[in-house]
Amino acid sequence: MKKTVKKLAAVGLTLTSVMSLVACGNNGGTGSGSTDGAVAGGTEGAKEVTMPKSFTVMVDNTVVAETNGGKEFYAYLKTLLGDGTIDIKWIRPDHSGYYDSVGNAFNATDTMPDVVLLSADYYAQYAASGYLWDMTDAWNASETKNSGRLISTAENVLSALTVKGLDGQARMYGFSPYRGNGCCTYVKKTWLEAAGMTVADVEGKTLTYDEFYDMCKKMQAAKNSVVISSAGYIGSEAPYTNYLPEFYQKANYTFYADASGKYVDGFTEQAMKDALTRIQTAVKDGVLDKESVNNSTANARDKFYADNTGIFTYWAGTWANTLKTNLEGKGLDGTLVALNPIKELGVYIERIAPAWCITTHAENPEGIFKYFIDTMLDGGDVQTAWEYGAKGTHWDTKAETVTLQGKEDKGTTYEEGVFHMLPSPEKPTSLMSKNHIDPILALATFKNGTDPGDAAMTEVAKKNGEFFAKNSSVVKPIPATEEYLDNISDINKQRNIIVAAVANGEMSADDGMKEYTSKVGDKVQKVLDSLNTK
Amino acid sequence: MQCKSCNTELPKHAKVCPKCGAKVSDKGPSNLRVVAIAGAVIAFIGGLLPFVQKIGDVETAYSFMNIQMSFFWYLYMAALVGTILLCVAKKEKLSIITTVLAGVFFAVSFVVSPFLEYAGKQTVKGGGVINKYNNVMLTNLLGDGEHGIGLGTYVVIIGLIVAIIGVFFDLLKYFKKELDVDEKYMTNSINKSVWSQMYYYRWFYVMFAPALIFVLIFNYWPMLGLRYAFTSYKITAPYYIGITHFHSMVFNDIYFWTAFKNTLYLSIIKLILNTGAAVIISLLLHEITNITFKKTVQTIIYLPHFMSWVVTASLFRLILAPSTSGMVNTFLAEVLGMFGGNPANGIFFLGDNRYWVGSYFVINVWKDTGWGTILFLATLSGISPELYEAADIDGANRFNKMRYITLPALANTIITVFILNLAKVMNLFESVFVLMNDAVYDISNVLQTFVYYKTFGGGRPDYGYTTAVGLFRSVVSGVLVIICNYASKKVRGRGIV
Repeated sequence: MKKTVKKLAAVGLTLTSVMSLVACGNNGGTGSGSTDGAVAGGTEGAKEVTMPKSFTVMVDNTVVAETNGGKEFYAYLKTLLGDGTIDIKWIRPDHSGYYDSVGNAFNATDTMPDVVLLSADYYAQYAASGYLWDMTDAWNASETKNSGRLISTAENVLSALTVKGLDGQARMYGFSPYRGNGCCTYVKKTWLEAAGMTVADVEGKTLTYDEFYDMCKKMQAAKNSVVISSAGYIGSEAPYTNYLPEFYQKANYTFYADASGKYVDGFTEQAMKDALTRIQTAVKDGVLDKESVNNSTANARDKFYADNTGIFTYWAGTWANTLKTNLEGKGLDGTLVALNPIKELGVYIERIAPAWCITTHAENPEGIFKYFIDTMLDGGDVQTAWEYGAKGTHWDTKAETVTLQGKEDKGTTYEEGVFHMLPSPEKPTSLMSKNHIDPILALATFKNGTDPGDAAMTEVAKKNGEFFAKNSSVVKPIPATEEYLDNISDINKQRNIIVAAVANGEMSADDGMKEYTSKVGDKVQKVLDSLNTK
Repeated sequence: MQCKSCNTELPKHAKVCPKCGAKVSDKGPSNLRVVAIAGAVIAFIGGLLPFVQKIGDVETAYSFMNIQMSFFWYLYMAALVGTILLCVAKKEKLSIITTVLAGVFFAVSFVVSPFLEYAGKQTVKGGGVINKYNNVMLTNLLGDGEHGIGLGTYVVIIGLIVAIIGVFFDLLKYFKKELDVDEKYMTNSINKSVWSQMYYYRWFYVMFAPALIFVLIFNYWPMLGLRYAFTSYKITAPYYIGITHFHSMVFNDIYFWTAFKNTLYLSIIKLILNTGAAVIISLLLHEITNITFKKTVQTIIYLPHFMSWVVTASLFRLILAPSTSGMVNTFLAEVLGMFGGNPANGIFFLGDNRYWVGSYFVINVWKDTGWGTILFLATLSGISPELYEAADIDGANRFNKMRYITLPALANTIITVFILNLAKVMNLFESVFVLMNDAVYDISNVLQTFVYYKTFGGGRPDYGYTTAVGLFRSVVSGVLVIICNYASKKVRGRGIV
């Protein structure tokens, strides 16, 4: 009996300790109501900013991947920041699962990074949920802001990063060193000619929708093929409509503030019904690929490269050159015409750039801002590193002959001091083009007024970048209320289902709207109420 | 009968062991007090549910999960663990003491400890975000007219009563088959106590320990996260909200029931088709006499199983595309002259509600049928050739031999495979995820994809809600396993768990 009791006691205590662990993890939920923690946000008066010794940075593959010389970039950047001793621990999740990893990392304070790169949607969410450090004061006092090197549209781009935090105050919780860029519509010269048209018929001209659609129909007839294939009928992040701008025109996919400042649901407006009807017609006419609903961006690009489509709306700037190069690589004519926004569209939409944010987990946010974020646009070596990568790995200025794999007989020789890009470490058959900051989109110029890689940038990319800057405006951010954050995934999912159903001809736009209202009307109203009362 | 201490065979009516001198217990074997254990488990679950609830506001709830003096919860759980252990150790009557103690801890917590009422969030430097709380006493809340007794209180009380009554009510005895054998002929496993058996086989337990530790760490430890099903857990800083998620899931969620229905429909039909196809292919393969050809065919049909679902989906997306690159539509258009001869006007198999389900089943059959034949072919190879020879002498043709020999021999395996797979029907994710899109969302969304999109589909991930959905899924899976176990016992004479 005694033995049994002892054994039972031992096992019981073990099990009890395990069960108590059920509750241990509950500290976040049942912990003391103490409110004595120092509230983060805002720089405090004339506090002296110290250089951070170490911090963690979580970023996607818009910074050169570790398989593409990322480690060399880290080492090079380290030599340029502060006194060269700042220890940055880089966290590089898989690119396609980046936001899954970010979500998981924020689950616990010990896995939360000190610095994180967030896209516009996530940026607003994390700011509203109180996880980001308010960098408004730091930015106002920053060297970059006061350098006089910011481009004219910088203020416009950065104003989109002013969002409401946990306390409801609109502040700046992140910084982007470059414009968000957007998509413009490219037309193949060969397809224009097949339709009996010339480049001169469309280049530099503002077509109406009817003229645009007529061009598509002619191409469709000439090629007996769909003309446009996009990555989904609707995008997955703001501005959502950017892959089919001619069809959506000024329709708003989501909530926006109308002229009176009141928030409305753009999806239920007549403009969206008309847009969906246009898409339905285009699919029915064989102009728009019905497989678009199933396409990834890679699928849509591949169809364009394979000459299965003749019009493609895709990213401006560097991508203009990439599309051209890839078409030529396939033995096709790479001449592309970037269409002016059609009359009904007015301007292309530029997305809000992903923002570098400092989390409330950071011990020295002021130091991280000063020595890491504020230096990204220093107009010198650090900016060069963020634009082009590591010297000696991604670019160089020494005298040498650069050859690409497979084209060893066609090397290019550079003299000492001439900036030139090197073959991509990951794909040595092509040259490196850029690192995190697209030189065409950088928010600040260099101190000497000349980008060191200017000569390495292709004319096509530069010209297209300028074209897009002239013909675009930045999308307006939506304030993230609790109700918005809780309901938007269901609302967007229902919107996407309706878009697909109408596009595929399974229902009319009116019926689609009725179904949308019946399924998520209550949620939409809840969100609108929260947006209009906050 | 054997000595529990030294396993020496004991004389009948012996009071002490003649070899080691250990006292011989005259207590016969008894069953576990299943009802008592079930009561303790019910009471344990009750501790997670709201004891007090704001009327008309399901989110404002109070239970052990937001009690300030959390040691009450630990004591309560320890007492219930004690109840279970005492029942397992066949000290049922002692378990009444621990069960009553659990009841006392529960009652005292009502009047002694404050509970935490969620009052918003605040950021803290170095710690992300924390919750702010107000302290409230349940006894005060119950008197304000705005709060009422919650589900948890009733569940705890019922659980504790059942745990006490269960000590006197042995449910299993109704199912127990009397062996009607003299105890001296009984085997060690029946007439020895649990502890004696464990001691006797201690080195086996030592060998088993690494596997047990592995399972505890990787299978059971993560299950502690199930508590988040009762919290609002958005990014970080979860706080208790009672049964809000379950309420929303059942009454408010526009996609949940569709996903649940789709899960059952797609899984069960897939299971029937895959098993049926595997049986047919196995029977046909069994009839092939050329061994080389048979092995070649087997290898070919096994191969798709080793392709990842991502590759399979890409392949079929291409094959079924409504364009000139789509093999099926090109064949229909150009060879059969359908769609005006233009494949682009063809059927959008993976983007049309009318065709997606059929395409999904075909792809699944293509991928998994070959692998499914392995068990059936193994069974078929075990059928005695003499039976076929006898059938030949009786003048049976091939079809009759298949009907009267092969199929009956295969029946038990078919049922076994079916039952084993039926328990896994709620685990549908990868095959659907890679083949679904917005155009077919309503018919393809299953519980696991529903959870995925709720978590990572934009908006703010609500881990609490998705954990609740996962818990619901697990409960349904558990019920299916129990049903399958019962069916297996009936069919095969032994369970699957």
